[in-house]
Amino acid sequence: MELLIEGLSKRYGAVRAVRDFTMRLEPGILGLLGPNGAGKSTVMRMLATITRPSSGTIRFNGSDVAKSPDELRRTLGYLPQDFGIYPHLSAIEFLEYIGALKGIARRALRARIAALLESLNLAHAGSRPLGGFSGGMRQRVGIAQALLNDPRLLIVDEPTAGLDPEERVRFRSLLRDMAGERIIVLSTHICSDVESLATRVAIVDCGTLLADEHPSKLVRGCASLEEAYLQIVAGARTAA
Amino acid sequence: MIQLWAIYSLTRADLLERTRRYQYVATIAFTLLIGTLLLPAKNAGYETFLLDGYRGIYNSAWIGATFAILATMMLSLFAFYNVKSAVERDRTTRVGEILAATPLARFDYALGKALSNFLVLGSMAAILFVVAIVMQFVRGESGAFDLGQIAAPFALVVLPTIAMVAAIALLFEMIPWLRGGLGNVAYFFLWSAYLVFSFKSDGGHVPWWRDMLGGNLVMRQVWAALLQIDPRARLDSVEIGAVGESARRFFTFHGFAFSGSDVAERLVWFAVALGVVAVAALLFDRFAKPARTAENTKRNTVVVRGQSALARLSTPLLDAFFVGDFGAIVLAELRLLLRGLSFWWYVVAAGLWVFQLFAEAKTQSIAVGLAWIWPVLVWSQLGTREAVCATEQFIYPTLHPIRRQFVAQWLAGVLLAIATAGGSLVHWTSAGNLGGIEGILAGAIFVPTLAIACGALSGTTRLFEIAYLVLWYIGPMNRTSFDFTQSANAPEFAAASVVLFAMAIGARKLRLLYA
Repeated sequence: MELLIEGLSKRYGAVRAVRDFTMRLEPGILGLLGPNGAGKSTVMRMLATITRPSSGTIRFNGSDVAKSPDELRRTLGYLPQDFGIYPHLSAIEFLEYIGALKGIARRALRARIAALLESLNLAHAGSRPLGGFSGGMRQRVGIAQALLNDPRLLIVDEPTAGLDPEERVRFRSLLRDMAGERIIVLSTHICSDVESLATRVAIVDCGTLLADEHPSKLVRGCASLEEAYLQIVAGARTAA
Repeated sequence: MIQLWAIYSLTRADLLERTRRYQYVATIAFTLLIGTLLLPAKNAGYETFLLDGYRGIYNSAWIGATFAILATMMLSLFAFYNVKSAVERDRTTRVGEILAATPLARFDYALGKALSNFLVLGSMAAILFVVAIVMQFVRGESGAFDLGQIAAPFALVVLPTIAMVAAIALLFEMIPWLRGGLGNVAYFFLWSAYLVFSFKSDGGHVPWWRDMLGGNLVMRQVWAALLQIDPRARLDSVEIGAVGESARRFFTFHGFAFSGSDVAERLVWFAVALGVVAVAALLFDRFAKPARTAENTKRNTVVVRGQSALARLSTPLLDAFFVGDFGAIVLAELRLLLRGLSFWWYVVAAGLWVFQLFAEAKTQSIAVGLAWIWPVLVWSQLGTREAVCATEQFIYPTLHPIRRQFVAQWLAGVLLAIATAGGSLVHWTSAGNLGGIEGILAGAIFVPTLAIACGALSGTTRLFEIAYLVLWYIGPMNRTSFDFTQSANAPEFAAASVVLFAMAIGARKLRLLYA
């Protein structure tokens, strides 16, 4: 399984949000680091087939995603940075709804929802309206919907935002357990999350890919990933 | 099979989300109330359906005819605004981004949403149907009950209409410039024009494509029955909603006899509705634009504009709090109100201003009416901007948010009304007609007060947009007692303004308490 990104660019009018992004992804966890407005979310939206690239291609197992997006969508789990819920539906109703849209058969869906609610510590709240959920609980419902179809490609944008330390640890271990045969793209501002999870780290600024390395290689010569990240971004800005 | 399961799930979730909101409960209660008013008692002082002064005895056939005609009109106009939010909800809640990443086909999404629209409208129609049955026994003018005579016109007239309304509402949501307030205004005018287009005063048959609402289907049979007892009855004298009138004459309408072609002509509308859904699906962008740059999502456009405008105005606002300059807040609110209007908006407003200046006294009402329909989308921001722009957290903790900011916002709306009707004010001043000035000023206070009350009560721009359009049409355009630009009606509208203003303040106080 591979995800090949070649020369990916996105323009919004005069603004170039992503420039000539190229990388090849195989099973493992890619941590995407970058300042606000760096283009991370745009890259993720293009990978999730929501936004069409202005130029460049994304190939999933050899198939052009722009031409046949459904092939990727069937096996995609996506957690956007800012997502909403229907406040008057319960967590189970909401997940049944998303699961049906993902094409999961009814019986299998119910079992999957029960398992996910259990593993995300939401089993006790499954029948309650989502409108009464805390920010962290909503985030976990978002994570659950992304995992419903047991995705081969999982794209998660700021997944630990709003989670308390205990839930963050729980989610990190969930991602680590899942990583084996999956491609996971994780965007976050929390360097420690990336450092502890990612098998590769990509640093992005101004829509450009600045670095793409194993975390240990990036950290070499620096006290932490955070320091390495700041040095790379500052260096690129000075050069520009 | 999986595809049907997906469409069913989408329809079900959308329906559950809508029907569990308090607005739906309020809509159903309102429908129930309206339903009971559709069949007035003999001394009620109003009639809902008169033909040249005739009213049918309240038997099942006449009740079926009355409810079918009035339900098809109400559901095609007011209920359109109620259901035109299925896709908007996915945009604003951002559930759309999650849906877009699933394999759900565009047509399946559109069909699911249209079905949900249809079922919401259908629930309102069902309420009216039950009320129609109950009201026959309540009024007790005819003991002979025939369920088929009430059900048949409902099925043939109302159901195809709501199928079309469900599809058109979806289509409007898929076309960027029809999504917001402009679409709401455009639909009102399209609906009014189509109503006139579909009416045939000689009792004849109109082609099916001119009778989407099914009114002609009912009227043809009612007219034929009336002509049998009074061949000189004027068929062009149809009154829907006659206040202060009572039926002068009564007749017995014995019932409908629909032919196969009548049924076929109505069923065609289901196919047309499906076609409209297909077109809507083609236009569906799959939430491709990220929320912040979705230029066509009015809510988001306003978010960006509102926040940046507020940021630019933050210094004068703060100064105003400290030096007590209320005028600066009014000015800031006026600038927020007018921000983003194009050059052409001002050109048209200026043209309408000049038209008022030179219009004759008898056409002043229409001239001001036209000048006051132009800013409808500007006024509709009143009382809603804080919720729409999500600036409540900044505004509510400020010093005296009601006495200062809320009142300043209302005053900015009043100033806009006075400015846009300036031509008429100059006209009446130069003519020395104080009554004319009084009428304009009463209207200039009433319209923004209605806007801010609707906005504060509902939290959306939609309630004002539709309420004002209807009032504007039956008032200044038809010069009835609802004309809020006439000096003769000024005391009533001044009193209404006081009540509405109190309601607006009350609603905002509640928001402050529970925000």
